[in-house]
Amino acid sequence: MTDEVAPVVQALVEAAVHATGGTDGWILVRRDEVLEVVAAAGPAAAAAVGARIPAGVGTAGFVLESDQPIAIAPDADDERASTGMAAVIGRRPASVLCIPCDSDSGAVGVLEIVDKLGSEKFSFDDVELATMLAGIAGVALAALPSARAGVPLPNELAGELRRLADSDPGRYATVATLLAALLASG
Amino acid sequence: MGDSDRPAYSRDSLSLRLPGTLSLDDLTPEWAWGGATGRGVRVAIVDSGIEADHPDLHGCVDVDRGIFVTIDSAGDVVEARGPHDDAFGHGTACAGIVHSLAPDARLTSVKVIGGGLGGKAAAFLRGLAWAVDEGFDVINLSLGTTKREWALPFYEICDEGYFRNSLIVTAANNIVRPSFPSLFASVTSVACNMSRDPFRFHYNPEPPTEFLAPGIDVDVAWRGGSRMSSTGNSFAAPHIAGIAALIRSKHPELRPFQLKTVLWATAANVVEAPRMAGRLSRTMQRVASARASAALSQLGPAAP
Repeated sequence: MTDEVAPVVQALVEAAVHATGGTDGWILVRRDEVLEVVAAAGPAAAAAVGARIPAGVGTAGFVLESDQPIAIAPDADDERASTGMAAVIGRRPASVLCIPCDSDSGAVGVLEIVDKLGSEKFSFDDVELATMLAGIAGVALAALPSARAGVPLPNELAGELRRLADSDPGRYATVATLLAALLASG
Repeated sequence: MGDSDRPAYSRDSLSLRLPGTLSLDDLTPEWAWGGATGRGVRVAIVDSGIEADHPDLHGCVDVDRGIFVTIDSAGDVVEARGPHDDAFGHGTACAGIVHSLAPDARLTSVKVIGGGLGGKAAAFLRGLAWAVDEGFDVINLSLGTTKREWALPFYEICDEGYFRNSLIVTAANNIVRPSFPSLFASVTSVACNMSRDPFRFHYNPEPPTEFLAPGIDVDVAWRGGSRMSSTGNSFAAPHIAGIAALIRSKHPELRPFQLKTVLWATAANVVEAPRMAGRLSRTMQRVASARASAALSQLGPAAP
């Protein structure tokens, strides 16, 4: 992460944890088929920066796919909602708040906060506050030149354009054909 | 020009009056869904799949009719018909809410989450298009995409669903950024209200979010036969989908715009509806900004 962006997302995750009353929190960014922790706050999560978990699993994976914020209070013995990050922080959270970090090119990462202090679960106010901070993080993360989040591989781009061409031939067919030809020519 | 030569819109309205036409005063909850169970109505849940044997679903899922849409490594859409699991629990939660309101409605899972992150908007779109093609009465879509390039394809599919008589119910997105397809007039967009009563929903006079329904600390069915407390607009949308299923079962002749009108007429509190559903109100923005600023100021400069 660049020196310009790192302090911003670190400040945002620290503010989110503090303001919502969470114990630990982190921001995960999609890099191909894994999610990487790029900022973290809290006693158990602070050392998690750089950790990678499989994409598409657990609460973070669901939120990244669905683009919908969610707050849940899983049973203590329910490992599904915390798949991935539970192993990183060494415990299964009792409450989880997870928000997509959105940009114009879709969700580039997620802000996840766990274990609200003094309460069984995060409130709707916490959801809205975290949503605002995650929105700022999304803008910051989208500016990362090194982050591949939202920037598909050429073959992914060709596939995406091909599907768009199927849906709307007049608008996308030509550029899909051109890109496919470029890829074919190596 | 004789009366029969005139275009329909210019003829005398009395000659066009439909039998059984109601006035708005007739549109009460009792008229709308009193005694209804959802029988005869088919609801598609476009989500992470449904755990069909969850004990709280009581066998309401048409397992063999479901579909799992994924994108393969070549970028092509792959459709797998038949039984599948719930990748997360979210689809089971939405199904459970609809079933709790419309117990005799038949539910079908359209799984579009859980197949990997690549091409997810395409999977959403294909799953929604399949549900529209299949002619479901109600389609619940508690997800979306902020990718602007997908706005037009979603717009066209949602319009097609509207004209084919499918009521598409979507979760509004809390973020202050366009999210599709929840912004389109052809869908019914829903955010949270503060109610605990599953039948207590509100009309929102400031679109694109049109209705508010319970979505805070909702006790929902979850994967593994369990239940969980959950918060989000994701859980508000299926409340409206369930009530719409009840209305549809009692009044199958209603088209989507009429269903919306019935929902409006039966909303618990039209006058006092929040000003900006699904987003931070101006007051909440001030409160949230103050809280965020205070939190940031206490932290001092962040380490690089």
